[in-house]
Amino acid sequence: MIRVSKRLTGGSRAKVSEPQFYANKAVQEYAQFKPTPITLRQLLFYERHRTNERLLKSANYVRQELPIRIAHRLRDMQQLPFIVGMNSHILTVYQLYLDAFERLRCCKPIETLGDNARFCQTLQHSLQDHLVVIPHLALGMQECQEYITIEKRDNFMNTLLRSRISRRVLAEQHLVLSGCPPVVTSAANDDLPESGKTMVFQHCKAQQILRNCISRLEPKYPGIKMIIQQSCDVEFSYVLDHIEYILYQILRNSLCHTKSRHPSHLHACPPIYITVCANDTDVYFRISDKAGGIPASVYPQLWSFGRHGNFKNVKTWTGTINEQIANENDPAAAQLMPLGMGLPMSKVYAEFWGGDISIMTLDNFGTDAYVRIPKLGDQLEHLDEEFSASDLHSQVDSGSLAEHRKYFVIK
Amino acid sequence: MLRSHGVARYLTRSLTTVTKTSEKPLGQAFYDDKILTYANKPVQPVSLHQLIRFGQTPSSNQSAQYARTELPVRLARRVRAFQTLPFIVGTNPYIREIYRLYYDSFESLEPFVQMKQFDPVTYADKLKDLVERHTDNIPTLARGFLECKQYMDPHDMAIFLDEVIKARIGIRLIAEQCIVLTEQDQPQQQPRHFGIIDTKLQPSQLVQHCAEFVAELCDFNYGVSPETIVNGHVDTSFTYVPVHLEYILTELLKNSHRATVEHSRKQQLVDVPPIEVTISHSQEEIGIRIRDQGGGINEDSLAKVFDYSYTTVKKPGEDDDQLSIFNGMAQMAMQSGVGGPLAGLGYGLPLARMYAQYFGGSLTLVSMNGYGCDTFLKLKHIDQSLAEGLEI
Repeated sequence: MIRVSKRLTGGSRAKVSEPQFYANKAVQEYAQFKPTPITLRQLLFYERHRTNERLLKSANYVRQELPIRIAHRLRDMQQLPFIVGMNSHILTVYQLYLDAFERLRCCKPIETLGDNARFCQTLQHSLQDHLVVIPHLALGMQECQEYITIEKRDNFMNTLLRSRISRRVLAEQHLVLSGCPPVVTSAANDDLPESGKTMVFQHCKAQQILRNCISRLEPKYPGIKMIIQQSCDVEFSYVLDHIEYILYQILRNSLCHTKSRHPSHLHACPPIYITVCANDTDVYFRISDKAGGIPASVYPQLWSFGRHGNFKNVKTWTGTINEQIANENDPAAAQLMPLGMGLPMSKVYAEFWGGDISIMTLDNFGTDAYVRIPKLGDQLEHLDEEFSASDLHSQVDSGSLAEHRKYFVIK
Repeated sequence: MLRSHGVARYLTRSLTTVTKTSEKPLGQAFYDDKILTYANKPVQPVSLHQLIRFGQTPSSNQSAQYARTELPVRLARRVRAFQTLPFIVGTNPYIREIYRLYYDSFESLEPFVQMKQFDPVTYADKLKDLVERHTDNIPTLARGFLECKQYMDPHDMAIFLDEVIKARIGIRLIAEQCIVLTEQDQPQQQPRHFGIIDTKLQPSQLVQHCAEFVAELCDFNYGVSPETIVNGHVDTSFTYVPVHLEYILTELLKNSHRATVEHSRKQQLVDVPPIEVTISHSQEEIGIRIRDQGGGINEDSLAKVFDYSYTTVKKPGEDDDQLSIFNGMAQMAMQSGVGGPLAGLGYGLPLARMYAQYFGGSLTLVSMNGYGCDTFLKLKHIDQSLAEGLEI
């Protein structure tokens, strides 16, 4: 007997109730399937060669894939310690996920463009509703500090966030393919191909992204120079939002700490040096500052979620820099900073398509941040679960690498 | 205790090792239970704090007293470790050589344990002789293990080598401390050195020194060498064992120099990019970052870079560039280490890391493949409070 969920519409919210033990059958069924990870290149291919047939194929892929991935997350949440799961924030998130799962699971196979249009609406609703997930999750985790180890918490958050990115990217991309405006992703208008379609993945020019971030940060920290010491004309396909977010976070951290280290001599602050380089397969960004380094007491927790936990008054969180800059400019919201999500989120974004972030520090001197992004888009999504090749792979791109990248730091 | 590093000294050092051990038949070891007795005794680790304290009152001969009971135990353990190697490996002449050396050393020091008329000076002389004889252990072992590659599981080999190198560092520390202290007459007024420990070691100076040496070798070998720029907290000083830091720095700088020159040749750059060494000093540790533009290391190689016997150095015969008759020797010198000619046997980085980790430090490599490497060396302060916990 499956409990019928209430549909989430517009303003009304279903009452957050405790999960039903016997209603779990559907979740269990779906959780038995493995998610089918996809490479950036495959998504790009679909994006750049749109036909109606591919559109329907994509729709059905998304329709089947999303419930599977959500089911896995539901199962993860079900495995949390009971007391953690009963936290009201965690329950809210659980409910949201359960509702999304039910909604998507009950979608019929998509056979016409009309079906697709209705499906897109469902997607849009989910995407919009789920913007509250991260604040709730962060708050919930913070409130449950006593009941769960930092390691378990970070693992849980990492897996959840990675899955979340994957689902949102899939969903947003499908919306774009269908000609609907994406909900969050800035499908760039400055990169319109000839046909005038918008895209989720763009040609990112390393230099340009850097300059964008720099020009946004310069006004806030006048006097601290950001010098691009070495650069190259490298281009790669990526979700612009993600890469911008990463670079913005790191630069902002460097600037912020440089300023606090030299408060009175703003114009004599040591500059921040940026190096961009590339080889056949990857792009590297290195950001070096002299902001005093990271002490040994803080360093191990750099990548932990919600260290500061000022999420109390934050309602929605998209994880884009547009939102972050808007928050910084708004005096009320600015008081809530820092949220302690910048670095962990950057790591999730970087690692998602097989990239990497590493931070090395010279205590009492400065810090170096290294970001590596694969250029070729041939890395499978890093879903952290066992995966197997699918039919979709062989149809689109038989040359994909099915391994995850090895590290570029060794100790 | 910095040794002078003339380039000539390295070029004339021969690779063949002279047998320095007695010719006692191997089989006799089976019936020798002294080794077992000593090897089963517990190791009495000494903290660095204590070692320093030995140095504060050298006339009390505490160092020698400690050494005479401790060293035989440690040496016996090394002998036991060799005895557990696979038989075929043990018959390799290089490995057998070192095994014999440890055995002989044990035999010559064991009588001092119970000796009634113990004279620290005689003892220290004996130690000096042994330290000298054991100088080339690592290169010899390296040769031996290279030849035994197919007879031993690399994992087991790595464990054996880790243990023998770690033990060696400890034994030499104890021995050299004893030697230096016994030679010292009275405690100095405001001593800077306690035996082989220097309390005012300036990393920037040591970096300059090592960089000059490596640059000379590099010039000799390639005709050009990158400039080494030292910045950061250049005036800082700290307490450490200079020989250790010197070894680590030389290895790392050699790698950077070689990579920089070879990479810029491949890229056909006009100027060779400099190597930047940044020093930092905080309450907890000293940081030394070596930044080069030597092209980096690809991921597959990076995973193996701390493995013993992994090397990217071409053997002398394989090189096309035969411009001078000195080429081969200069190449070997370039690839040789402070402790003796290593000839690109791939032990440089694992050894450097072992030294770094010995007193609780770390060595981390960040590679930006296609551009260069950043190497981070972190060393803990051996000051009074910390040294208590660090045991050798």
